[in-house]
Amino acid sequence: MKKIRWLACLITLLFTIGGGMLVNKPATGQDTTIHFWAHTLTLHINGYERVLEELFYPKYPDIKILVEPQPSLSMKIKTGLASGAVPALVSVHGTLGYELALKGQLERLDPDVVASYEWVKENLWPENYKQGYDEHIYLVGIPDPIGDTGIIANVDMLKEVGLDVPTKFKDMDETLMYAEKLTKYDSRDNVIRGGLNVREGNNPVMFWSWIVEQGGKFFDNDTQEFNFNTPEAKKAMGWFYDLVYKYKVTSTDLPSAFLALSQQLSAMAYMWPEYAYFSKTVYPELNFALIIRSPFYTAKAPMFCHTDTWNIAVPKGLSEEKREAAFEYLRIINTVEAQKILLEENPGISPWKVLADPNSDFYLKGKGMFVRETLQYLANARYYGPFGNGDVLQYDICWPIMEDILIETLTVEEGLKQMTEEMNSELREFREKYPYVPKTVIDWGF
Amino acid sequence: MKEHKRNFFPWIVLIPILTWYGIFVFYPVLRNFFMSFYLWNITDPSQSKFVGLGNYLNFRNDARFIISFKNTWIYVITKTALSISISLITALFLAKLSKGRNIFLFCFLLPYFMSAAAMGILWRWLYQPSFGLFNNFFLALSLPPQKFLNSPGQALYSIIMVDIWRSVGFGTVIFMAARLNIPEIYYEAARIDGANHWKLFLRITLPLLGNTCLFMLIITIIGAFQVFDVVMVMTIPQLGGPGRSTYILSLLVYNQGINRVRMGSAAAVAMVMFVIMIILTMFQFRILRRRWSY
Repeated sequence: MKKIRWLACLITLLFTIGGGMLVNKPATGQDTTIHFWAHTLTLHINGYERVLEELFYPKYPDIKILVEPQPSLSMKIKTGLASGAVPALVSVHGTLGYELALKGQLERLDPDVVASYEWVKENLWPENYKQGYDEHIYLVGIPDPIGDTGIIANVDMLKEVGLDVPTKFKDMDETLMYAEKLTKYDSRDNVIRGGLNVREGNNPVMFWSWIVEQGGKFFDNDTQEFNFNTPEAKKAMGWFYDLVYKYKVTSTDLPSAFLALSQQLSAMAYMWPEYAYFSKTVYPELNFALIIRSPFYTAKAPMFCHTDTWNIAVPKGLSEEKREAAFEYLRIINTVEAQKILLEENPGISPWKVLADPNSDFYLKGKGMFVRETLQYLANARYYGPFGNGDVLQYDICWPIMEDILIETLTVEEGLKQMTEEMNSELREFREKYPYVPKTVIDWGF
Repeated sequence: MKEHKRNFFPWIVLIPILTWYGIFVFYPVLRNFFMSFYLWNITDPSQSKFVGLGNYLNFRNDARFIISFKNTWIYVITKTALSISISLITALFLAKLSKGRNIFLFCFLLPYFMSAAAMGILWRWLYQPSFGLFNNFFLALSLPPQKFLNSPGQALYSIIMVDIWRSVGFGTVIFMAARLNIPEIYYEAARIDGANHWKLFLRITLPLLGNTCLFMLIITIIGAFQVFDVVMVMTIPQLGGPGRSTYILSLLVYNQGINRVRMGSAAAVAMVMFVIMIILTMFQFRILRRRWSY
């Protein structure tokens, strides 16, 4: 009797598993449905959904695209690709897109979606072809303000201390003056409200830009090696360090820039520009503005770098049907109409040159006003890359070492030395593993 | 013939679970072991380069491995010592309670059921140097405020305290159940012989809780070695920070494997962890069990 009971349990279990597998089998004869893993930024999601409703579904009613915001998107994409379980569309930033493309994990988009590499060179900003691999295009860009353009400031806090809200800081002294006036201390002289927060993961690019603005270089195109043991690098890194320890306008006790701004623990922060617009929906009670940063000390003009573009890509390994559905969506995204919709939802700078007219209504009096000042610097912008492992170099080596310097685990000199060694070691190992990765040649502009 | 049939039947019942273990436990471990000898190319594994012990030998000069190895040991030793001690002491006190025991037990056990994410966020707020509850409390007592998660010297211990807070309840339940199973007659006899509380604890309670202590030691050490969720949630976005003061081996596996896509290196770190845990467990079984068994 006992044996029969055991056997009955076993058979029930096997049927349950088998039944579950049968239930999950997709029905035949339905519309094509594909999934789109997107970054968890409402501005992006709203844009994608609007393009679907207004441009895509009227043309392709039998294709359904499910836009799915994903936290830790980069990790998910990497693990998804490794396990073969990826959606048809993924949102990727430029450095990751390049890495995936050179590893052969993304579908080539020219000529099916984008006419050609040369077409991109002619019609889009340089980062959109420089992040291509092997003179082919793997990413379709969406509007995005350049990451290292400036400082996000809490307008109410500026007004509270009697400061105007400038469009840009004219020099570092003015930046510092603002930071000092905005900083609050407690009775023990601890910073309780930062004047200018420096803890943001994209700050390495700003650090690199400051080196270049001083006439320096941090990478040798011939030897393919980094070198941060230079006076320019020391001065640039020193600025971050001095804000904490010399000028005391911020503290490592305060959280990172994103949290510090939203928790009103910092009046200003080096921060990605979208924050100014996205905060209007997420923190409607707060009032932020973007102030374009000044050139670094003796530099004549600020020099921006746009390696942190936002794009959409198609992973390899899809069925023909899903691949084609994904391509249809990207063909639509890669049009002026769709880019305008995306710009409306996520004001910034479109990849399309024709949509970056500073005298257009969008930038003169519309939602793009807050980044209009940036447009004049686009022609002189740089692109520090591409590196096959740009994400690791920036976010896993450069930024943690900057943090080490800020919390005084390392001195500025030690940090720069370690940064040089680790980044070179990482780049060497990457090239050993992927010997076909092309040389990185940075156009310094001088 | 009948006896042969009786021996065959348990295997039929065990096949599904053994299959499950084979697919989801043994095979991944073997595969991991295999990958650790390669510069693994996830795009095209056939292009992976065999490096033998190269991934392991690289650890000698890898600053990340060295710091994470050191931090992991600090974590394991501190958490194990404090967690087991606090659980045991709490259990002994609770065992003496005649009223309200269940309520206290429920309160101690509650954190154990919290998700690591919720727990991490809660404690990040408590630890916040500017407005967190702890520093407000210190200031009210005219004590200097602490940096907690913002200090390289304090961050790791701050996280350990959270993990201990979470796990003490489980240990208390286990120890209390074991303590209540010790016949009172031993204590009565010892008291008659003049034993004081300390002697009762040393000569009766502790030895008779020996197997329970061994069990708790093993699972606490393994749990501490494998900790990941609490550290990740409490240090995000700067994983293992500030600096690398909370960088532990499991974070290294995650970072190497997922972020840097160095699967071979990640596999090697995982194997090092696996071997250390096996050795520690065997050591505990062989050395401690003999001593504590009755």
